[in-house]
Amino acid sequence: MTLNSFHFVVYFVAFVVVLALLQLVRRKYEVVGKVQLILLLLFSYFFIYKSSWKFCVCVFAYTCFVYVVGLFAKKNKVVLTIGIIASILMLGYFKYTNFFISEFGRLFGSDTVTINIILPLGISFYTFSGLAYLIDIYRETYPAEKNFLNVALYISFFAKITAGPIVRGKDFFPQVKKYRGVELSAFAVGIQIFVFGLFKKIVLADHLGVFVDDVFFAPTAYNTATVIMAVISYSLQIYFDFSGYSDMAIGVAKIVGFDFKPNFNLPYIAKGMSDFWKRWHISLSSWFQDYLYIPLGGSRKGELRTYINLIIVMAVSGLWHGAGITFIVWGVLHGIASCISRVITKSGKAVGKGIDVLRTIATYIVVALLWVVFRASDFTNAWNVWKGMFTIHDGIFQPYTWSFFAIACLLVSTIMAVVRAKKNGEKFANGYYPILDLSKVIPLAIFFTFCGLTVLLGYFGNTAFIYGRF
Amino acid sequence: MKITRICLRFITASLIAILLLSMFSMLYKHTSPHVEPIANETFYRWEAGSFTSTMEEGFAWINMDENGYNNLKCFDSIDVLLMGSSHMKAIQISTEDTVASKLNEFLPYSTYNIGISGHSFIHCVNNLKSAIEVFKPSKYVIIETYNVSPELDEMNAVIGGQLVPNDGSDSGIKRLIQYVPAAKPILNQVLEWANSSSKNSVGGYSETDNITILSDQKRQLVLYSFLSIICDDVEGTGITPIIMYHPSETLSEDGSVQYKTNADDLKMFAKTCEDLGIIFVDMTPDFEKMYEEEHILAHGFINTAVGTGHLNKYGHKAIAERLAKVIGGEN
Repeated sequence: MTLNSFHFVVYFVAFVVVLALLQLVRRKYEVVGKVQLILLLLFSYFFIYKSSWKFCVCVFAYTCFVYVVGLFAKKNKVVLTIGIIASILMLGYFKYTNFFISEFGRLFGSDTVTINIILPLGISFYTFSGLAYLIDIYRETYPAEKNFLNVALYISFFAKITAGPIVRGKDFFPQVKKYRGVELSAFAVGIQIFVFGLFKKIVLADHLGVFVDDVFFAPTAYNTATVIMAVISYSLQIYFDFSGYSDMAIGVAKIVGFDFKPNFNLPYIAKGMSDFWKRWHISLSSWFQDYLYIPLGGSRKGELRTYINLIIVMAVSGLWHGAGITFIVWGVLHGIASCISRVITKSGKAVGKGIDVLRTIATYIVVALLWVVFRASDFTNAWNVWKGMFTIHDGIFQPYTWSFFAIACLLVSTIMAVVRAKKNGEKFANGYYPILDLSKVIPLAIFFTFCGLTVLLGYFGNTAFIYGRF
Repeated sequence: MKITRICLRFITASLIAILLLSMFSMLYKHTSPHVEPIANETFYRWEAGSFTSTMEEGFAWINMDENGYNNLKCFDSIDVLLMGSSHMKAIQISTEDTVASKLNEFLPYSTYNIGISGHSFIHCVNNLKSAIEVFKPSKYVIIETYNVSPELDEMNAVIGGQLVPNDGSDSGIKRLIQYVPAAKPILNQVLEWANSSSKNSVGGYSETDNITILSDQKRQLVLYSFLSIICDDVEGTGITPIIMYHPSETLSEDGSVQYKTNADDLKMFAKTCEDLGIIFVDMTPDFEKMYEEEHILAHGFINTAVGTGHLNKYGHKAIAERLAKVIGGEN
């Protein structure tokens, strides 16, 4: 079950009705707030159970481990080290065992034997949440959580378990302790963010996926323009897919009484690689910055060390994204691009709007070209796509209309968001969410129409989330 | 009082949304309700002159003819009758580009198309007699198929006169709901959404999915009896039957096109047609040539997966050209 599945919507509606009914009696009985939180935890486990009961066992076991280690992690390096190593080993076992076996096998020319290991739902995300929790306790950012249920909810919360955002304990626990429940105003905002994310996912990303899959499967069959269009389409697909998921997660969290920070901030208007990573999957980028880049020394130990740190962090980020050589190479290439971007930014004296536009275009081109490695099945496939882009040749011409529609959506919404954010003096382009006042007839009619359009235009073929695999 | 006001707001907003969505649906995806066929020549037809729009697979806005089929016009006398599935219904392309319209351009004959969705080869054969009685073609009947491996059970059902026709026409609530243009497409999408949540698969034609494995000899006997029905139906009418086969295409990783055809079944089908005196037109070589020379596939559109789904205007044109040659060459 994923956030964009019909079944989830049905279960979630029923669940929200129950929470809302409890909210009605909450003023009279304070304990109802705690009941609501327990129900949230149960619903989270139900959400995981719908994928497999084995995943529930994994999440529960990891929660117990994090809870116990957390109690002793404060300023205790040994305990913290145990916590980190065990978390990484668990992630490594489930996610990377077969990868390492096959790579060693290939290296020594032996036959590859794979072990039948399940990949637990959202393991990359909740392991990172757990690690952040332990490190924060060690650093005394906040105290260890005494209430087991709170830790359990933090690790398993259904909105974020599949593909993030990786919410920090300092943002999550205060909301649990002052849990507000289901409020109409938050519901009205949350449902709009959810539907907006659903539109991005099932209308834009999933339609783009059809074309991208075709071209990446047989890149040599298509002409130059089509291959270029497919690469652009993939850059949009992955953005709409993941930011759509994040929107849905933020939306459902808001509906049930939690506020998550935006996870994307118009990444394709970034003016450099570093800027891109501050705008793309913000919760993951900031995780790597706080828990890997800075402990490695960050930019405090000279230029050379900074570059090495950047490449290490990006390589690890690549490995985190997937158990495959292409992901690691994608990460390393991003690291190198970040170094080059840093050199250019440091040495560049030219400033001005024209230069900014050129930087934005250059950053987008680099990011889009590197997405090819990320998407490709192997290096030969990636090479064929790149070759297809840069050599003029005949082939199938497929001016895929959904690509043009997606580009138009991205341009219009970006311009609107930037203009609105500048007007309001906001750092994040929150104007990206078209929040309407649903207490009035016309905005409500617009919202209903948008819901209808989302269903009408939706693609219901292969709808798995790209980031859900990680 | 407050609740009443909220309900009123909710209802008003819903009505406005339905109106806006219906306006959009009229452009994006709209068909009128299905009505009973004239005399079992198909499962259903549309209301005379009804409007159909398609933007989710191809782009077309068309009006059905007076009989409720997809033709530019009706004829007083028909020379060539074209039967087939949604490929021949062809609501994804302009009516001017369909096989029937192209044949009307290429040949000095009147060609009339009664293709509808789901009316596969099996059903065409089953309804051939009625179709001939209703439309009285004088020269040819063309039956389209995308499958040369019909299921044995279905062939036997046609032979035994026991094939259950699809329930094509709309009645009751199913009919009424379609007068709200947004209702049917949204309802269909919701159902598809619910189904996709259970299984993530994309539909398509598979030549091998449902084939009962039997000895070639037994299969050939059944196929012979089945195709003999066509000969029996046209006997004494002076009509020449033609079966036109267009295979589904798929791209290989190396960029070549593969056709989802079982070579043995194709051979058997062609041989049986030859034995019975039915003209069999296999579009595979034409599609291959079109791809090799122009990099064009016969199926698929610029808003769908490449090479999948219905025949596009290039596919229709290639078929019409080939049929025109076959018919023209005979005369």
